[in-house]
Amino acid sequence: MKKAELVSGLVLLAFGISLWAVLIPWQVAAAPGAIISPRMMPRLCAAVLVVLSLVLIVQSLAALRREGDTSGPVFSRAEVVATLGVVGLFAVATLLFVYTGPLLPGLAIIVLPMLVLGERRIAMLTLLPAGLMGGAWLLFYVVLGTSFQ
Amino acid sequence: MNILRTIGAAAALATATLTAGAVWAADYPSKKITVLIGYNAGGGTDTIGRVLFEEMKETLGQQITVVNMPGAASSVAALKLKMAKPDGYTLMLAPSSAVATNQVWNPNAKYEVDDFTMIGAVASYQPAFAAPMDRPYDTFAEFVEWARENPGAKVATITPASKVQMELVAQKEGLELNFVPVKGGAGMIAGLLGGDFDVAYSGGAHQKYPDQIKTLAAAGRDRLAASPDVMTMDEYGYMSSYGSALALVGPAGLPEDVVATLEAALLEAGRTESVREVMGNLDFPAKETGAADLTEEAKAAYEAELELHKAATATN
Amino acid sequence: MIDAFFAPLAAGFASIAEFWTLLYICFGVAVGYTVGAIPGLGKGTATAVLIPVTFYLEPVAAIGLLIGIAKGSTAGSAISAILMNTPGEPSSAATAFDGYPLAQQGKAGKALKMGLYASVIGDLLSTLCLIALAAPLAQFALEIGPVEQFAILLFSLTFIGALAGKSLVKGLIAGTLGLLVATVGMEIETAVPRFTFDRLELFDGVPLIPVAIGMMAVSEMMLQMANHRALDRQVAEIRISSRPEDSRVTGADWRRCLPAIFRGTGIGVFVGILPGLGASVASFMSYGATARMSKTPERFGKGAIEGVAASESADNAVVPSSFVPLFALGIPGSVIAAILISAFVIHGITPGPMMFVEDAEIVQSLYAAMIVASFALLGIGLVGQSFFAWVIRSPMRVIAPAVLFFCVIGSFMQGGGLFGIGLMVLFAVLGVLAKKLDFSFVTFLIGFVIGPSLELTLRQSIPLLDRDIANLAQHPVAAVFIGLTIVLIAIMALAEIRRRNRASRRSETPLSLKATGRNT
Repeated sequence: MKKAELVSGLVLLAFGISLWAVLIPWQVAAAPGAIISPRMMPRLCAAVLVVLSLVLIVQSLAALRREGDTSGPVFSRAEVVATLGVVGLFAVATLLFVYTGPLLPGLAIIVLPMLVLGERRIAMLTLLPAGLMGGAWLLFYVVLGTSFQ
Repeated sequence: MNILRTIGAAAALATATLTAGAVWAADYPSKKITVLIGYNAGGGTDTIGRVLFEEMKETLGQQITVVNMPGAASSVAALKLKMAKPDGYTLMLAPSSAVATNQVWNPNAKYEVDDFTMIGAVASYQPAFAAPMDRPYDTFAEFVEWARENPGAKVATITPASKVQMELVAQKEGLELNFVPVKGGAGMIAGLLGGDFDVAYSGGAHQKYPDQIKTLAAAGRDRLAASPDVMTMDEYGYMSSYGSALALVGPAGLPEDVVATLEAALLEAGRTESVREVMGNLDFPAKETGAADLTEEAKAAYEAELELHKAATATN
Repeated sequence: MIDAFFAPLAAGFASIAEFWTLLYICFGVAVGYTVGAIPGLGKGTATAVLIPVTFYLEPVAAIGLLIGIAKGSTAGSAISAILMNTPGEPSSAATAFDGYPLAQQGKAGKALKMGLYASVIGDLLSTLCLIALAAPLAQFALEIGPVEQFAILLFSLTFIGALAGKSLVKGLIAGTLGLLVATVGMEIETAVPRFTFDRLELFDGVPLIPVAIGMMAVSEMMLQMANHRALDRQVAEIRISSRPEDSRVTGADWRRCLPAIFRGTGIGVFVGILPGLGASVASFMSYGATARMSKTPERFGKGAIEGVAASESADNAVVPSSFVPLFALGIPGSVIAAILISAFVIHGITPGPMMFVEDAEIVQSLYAAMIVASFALLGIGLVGQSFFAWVIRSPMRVIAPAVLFFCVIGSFMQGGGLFGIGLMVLFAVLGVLAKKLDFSFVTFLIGFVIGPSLELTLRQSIPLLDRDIANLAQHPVAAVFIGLTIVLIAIMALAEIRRRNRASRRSETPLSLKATGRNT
């Protein structure tokens, strides 16, 4: 954890500096007439971020020197896989939505995780998507007349 | 051989399009219509809209679905409308300012008045400059005098146009004003009722509190239906912002008969008792405007707002 | 007093004592409770979507239905917070802090029941405040102008200290990032777009719902999916090991929680009457205040039942009190209040001072309906809890897809379509990073939720004070809060330094590094 803290401290430091130097001037216009510039709040956050990340870096360096890094990696392989997998799932679902409408992405979001997590019972694999999507269709399209465009 | 084929193809295509167009228009509406509303459920526009569409459903014989698409004072919805197919099945209900003047102030609202077809309007907003009842001035002119003697008067505005209006007044009269930013009508009303502001721009909500809030001037060019004795900014000699109407809008290129059908249904719905009652409750005076007049007004509003914007940038 | 107060109210009760009206009220509470319990769906979606239905109902039934949804969902969101560490709504994020650890310790029943009781008490007391004190409370709210609000918001930021968990620095960093993300959008005073990257959808700021759903629900699902085998085993074990006190609320629990509940109700009522703050601010403030005032603050985050009580009483107290400005002045203080205005108007009632004169009987009927709804909440909650507790015992491979499905629907509807989905996924990844690296996502949410109001009230205070800080003397309440903030920051900084010194001196005897069920 200490090493991860050091890394996060460094990343945040870099982010804070790039905010101040690049992002803010680029994305926030200056508005010279105003009493408080629109850049004030973002700049304040960037400055605080830089200071705090320096503190974090110092703290983690001190702790590393004192105790060494006794804990293992912060992210387990399963967690990385799960995170990226779900992101990928949503990416696929979005593409399906754009090209084929709401039905396929809905099915994908329900069925694919079930399979990946080990669901093999055919009954569940058909009932859960049918129930969820059927319920959603009933509620939104039939009863309420809204639609997903 | 080639020429014949081309002519034949062209003829077939032409016939197909014409027949399709004829079938199309004659059967409008033949399926459900979706109307975008650029505000969250519960706002004035949304409320009137829902009641309006209940009535229009009867006339048109088709379901009308509301999709709330809030953002940037209806500009998000407007942008979506611009890209929609001009077949009459995607429309938008919004203040006409959304398509007529938003783009003057917001460079990200990448559209023009010509990107839309104005169908009609049933009510008009009542923009005004108002003040708490206990202030020692009753008209805008009196306010200017008071502000001259009491530098630091607190001014609240919720639109860029009204802010520019007050800045120009300050410049012209040599006033020193304190501009207080406000988020939305609710915050502005709270500030007026609480006495925090000396003058505030209101889109019409101030009319609900005739005992606590007084109207100093109409912000637009025309006198307010609800307060006909109050002078307009124009009459005072200041730049005014154009008024805005609650309008039904479609993407550019809507066929004429579709527009006619919708316009008729809209205006008829606007005359029904349920709609009038809701509009009355929300202090929106009924005002009918047909497609042609509304298009004129939108274009005029755009020009007027451009002038206001120019005057503003000239001072900065 | 009896004539003026009780008689009309009694008449109100009489008028709603008919089957269909009561049914609709209870239906509203039930729908709200269910929707609240499902992460991804929230009362915003539910009320907005049911508005057309209310057209066809009588005014009291229609408005009673909507109010029931609001009350029910605020209470129901505690269920998924406690059982799955996935708050059903942002306002229940603080409930998960101590609720989930309690569930992991096998005390889910206790946590759920206390959460419900706290919700009902907060809701009922706040409803009574609304009924008895609507007009004076509304006037009081008007006295709390932007200057006072800024001071109070600044003060509430200090509660981040109590919510930051083990590392104050990381908590502060998360809070700062929250404030930063809150600046996205058009700055109100100068109309300058900030960090919008030319996207109109960001013009009004990053929408809260996809962020909350992504950071809290989807990220939690990602992590739980990764550990699903271990979790499924844990769930099975919880079922086996259960002492009877662990599913009941004992006298000792009540003694600990009652002060927190009353405090939470007070905070909720106060936050509710001020427009624009919302239930999340109230629940975070209440949790923070209770943690801060506790004699044993280290218990928080590991299963302190008062934390659940504090959070739930506050967020439920906000709902009725947010109707105070609505009923008394016609000003909507929250999204739900705005939707209610719409319903009122459609049924021919104009909310505001005239309402008490022109539609006095309807107002009394509404009051009666609200009280009925509070009690219905108790009944429906107790039933609902056992049902949901049963549902939650399903294995992860059934729960995760269902939750993801609901999250997609919620983000789509409340976040602007596909853009909302994209935001949800982005913040889900950020949420995973935050949870694994121990950055408190709650302080992030606090910064994100309070940020816009904080900056706006600051910008408003400056012209209102005529740019002269000496004028602060005219706002004694504000001055007091600012003073308190400074004092509190000093105390917190000193305490943190002392703690760090003690920790480094004790580093030869390693304390347990990973406290189980620690949850920030």
